[in-house]
Amino acid sequence: MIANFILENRYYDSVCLMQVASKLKEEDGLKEAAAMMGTDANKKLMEEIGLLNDDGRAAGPNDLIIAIDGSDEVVVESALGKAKELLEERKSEAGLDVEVVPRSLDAALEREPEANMVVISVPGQYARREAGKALNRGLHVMLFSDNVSVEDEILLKKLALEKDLLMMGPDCGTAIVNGVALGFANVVGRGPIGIAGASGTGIQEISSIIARHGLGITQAIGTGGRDLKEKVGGLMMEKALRDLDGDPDTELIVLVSKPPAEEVVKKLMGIIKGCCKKVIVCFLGGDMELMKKEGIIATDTLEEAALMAVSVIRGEKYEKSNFTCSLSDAGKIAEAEYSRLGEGQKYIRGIFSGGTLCDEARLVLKEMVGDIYSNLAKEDRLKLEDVWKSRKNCLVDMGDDEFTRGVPHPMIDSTMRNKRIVQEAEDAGVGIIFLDVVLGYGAHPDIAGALLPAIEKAGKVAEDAGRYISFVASICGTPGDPQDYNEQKRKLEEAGVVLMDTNAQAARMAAAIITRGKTLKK
Amino acid sequence: MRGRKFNAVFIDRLLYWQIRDQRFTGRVHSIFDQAINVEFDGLGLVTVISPRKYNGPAFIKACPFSSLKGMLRVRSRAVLTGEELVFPSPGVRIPLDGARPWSGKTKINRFAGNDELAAKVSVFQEVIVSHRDGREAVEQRIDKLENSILSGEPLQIKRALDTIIGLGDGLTPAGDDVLLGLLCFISSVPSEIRGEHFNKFLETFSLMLEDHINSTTFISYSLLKYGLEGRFVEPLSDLCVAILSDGGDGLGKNLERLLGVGASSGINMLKGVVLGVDLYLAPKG
Repeated sequence: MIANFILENRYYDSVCLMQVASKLKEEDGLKEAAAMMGTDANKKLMEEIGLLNDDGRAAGPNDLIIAIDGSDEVVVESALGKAKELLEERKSEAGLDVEVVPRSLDAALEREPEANMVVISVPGQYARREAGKALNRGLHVMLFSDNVSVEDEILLKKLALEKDLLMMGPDCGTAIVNGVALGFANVVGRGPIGIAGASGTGIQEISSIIARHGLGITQAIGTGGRDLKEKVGGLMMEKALRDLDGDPDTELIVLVSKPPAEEVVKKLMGIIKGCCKKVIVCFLGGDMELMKKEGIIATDTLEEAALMAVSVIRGEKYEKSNFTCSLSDAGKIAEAEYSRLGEGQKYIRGIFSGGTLCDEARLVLKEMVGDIYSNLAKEDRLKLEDVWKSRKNCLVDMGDDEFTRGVPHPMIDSTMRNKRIVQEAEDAGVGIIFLDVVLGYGAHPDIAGALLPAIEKAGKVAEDAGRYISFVASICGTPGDPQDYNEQKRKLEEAGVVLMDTNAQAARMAAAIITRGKTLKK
Repeated sequence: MRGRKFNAVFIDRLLYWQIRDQRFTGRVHSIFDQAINVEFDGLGLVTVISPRKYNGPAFIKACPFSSLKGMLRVRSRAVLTGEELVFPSPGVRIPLDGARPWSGKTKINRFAGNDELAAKVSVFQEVIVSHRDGREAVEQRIDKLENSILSGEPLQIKRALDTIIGLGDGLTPAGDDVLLGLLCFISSVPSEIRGEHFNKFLETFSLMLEDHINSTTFISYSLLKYGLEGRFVEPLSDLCVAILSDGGDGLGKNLERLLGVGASSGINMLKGVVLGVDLYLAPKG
């Protein structure tokens, strides 16, 4: 049923109208909705998608048309009510006391003269100038922007060090400073553990596990993914480490990164050995033995780094285990899944939104099932020739640049990821689809809800072909996150997803299922 | 008249000359966070804007803006003379004598050259891609406009204009913002370097646009009309001048200011600017 409602001479900005249309589309029973001015071009567009009726056709260019395609009159009426409510809300938001969003650093500082940190997210080519301006004004910087040259990064970091300031980034997506989450970060309470990381979802996974075990953090300092490369030389990781070591509230430090350059590892090991506080290192895929030989606590997974930190703070002995549940329970879960797989279903396909989570899963699975193809693989032979097509056991990080050009990151919008999930289910060799579900500030408000249609569709695709697909996932988040951790968990479990406590455990479970239980004790 | 007095800090110079010896009456058309649009009989759109924002055609910057905005309502009556802007029913007076005139005139000291233009435009392409908002139908029509304009075929351009004027959500639909960006760039290219091909396009395009501008919202119509007179909002004309000038001075700052125009107008205007550069650089003939 098509209904058009006309609001004469009403004006709203484009973002507001897009939001209204998008919220209306979430209403049950609503097939399509639009909120547009009644210009000829817009009416033509609405006509083409079958949303216009005679009421809409009669609207003029200065009238707002709310066009709704609902299953029945009740749905249409309810959607109209919702549209009016949303527009009214927007009107009151635009009232007297509305906050003006500053458009420049000067304007922001005029408003918040006491601020001592600035988050910068502008196109890469302008980032150096903005970050330099902020540092020269004595402000710490979190630089969200990427596409900044390594030369500029070094220059900015040296400038920051001269002024004893933090220069987090470029390409720094996660930090928690003095309890304030910046970028993609979770709601984590204050506590005795300090984190420094060159990896966004690495920091998120570690801080979330710590929070779920009842502890908190002092700071989580992001350095940007390139900081530990040879050229940059770990300039900011070194500062973060020294700052946390000197911080009276920090009792223990966790470092997280992909493997640093050899020279950088040596330099950091020297600093770690000189630290007054205990330091746990998680350089995913790095040379753990070298670290251990030097007496440094090194871990293989993000989970292990977090749990070890919790144990040390609590004065408990850390005991490594593959699953939170007992091995026999894990075995039962795995069996319930693999008993439904056909013989030919022997591959795992991981569709990730977090790069470090994808990498962690890749490393865990490599030990258990052998070669893993990936867009993140270090070995040329395991790199995907075409990132849009999976091969054998394969994990893809859909948050990587090659997937996000011109489209939102999968943590924000799961459209591309959903398509890939269904695509994987069409492959008769696939037995498991492995997912990460990242919550927190900046992430989709209901990421589980956004993934469900794809999970259902993929299940249906397999079912129609006489197969079963096992979904394995973990949630990176905390009960305090805006998405409601428990509700997200419930949605996934109700959809039949095997939900594990951590990403590493989900990887072990995926291995156990695909090997029909053989790797359970590995 | 008793009531509250506000200060005008800037006024569009042309507007000042238009109203100097005349009296216009009108009504408040729309009120936004940072701008109040007033429609005057026989004059058109006048925008009273916060001093935090930019200048533009028929703009008056007034302060303290938030208090002013709080006193006005849509349809409030307004009277504009060379001396003051008055809203009688809430009792608001904005004397214009202290306002500095803004001419909007900008100058290109040294032309950038085609290679530099191409390099600059490639940077903007990335900005545009990073701002895509998923409105496929609108994007497709904008792409079609680009192809039509680059083809140089008048009939194709006319058809594309039919579908693009007034296309998109909001106060100034996306399609109109693209056209405004294009118009601003092609008008900013100094006449001595335009060449016959470009001059011909500017003339034809302006005539076609003039035929179409009634098909959109009042605000957008007004901005396009001012654009056809060579008058644009400050961030847009400043960016075009920075693109056309030798060196990258002010490019980043001007781009940032343009992206701050409206809710999504800035990015759409940038698309038009890029189209203008592409058109300028396209092989002639």
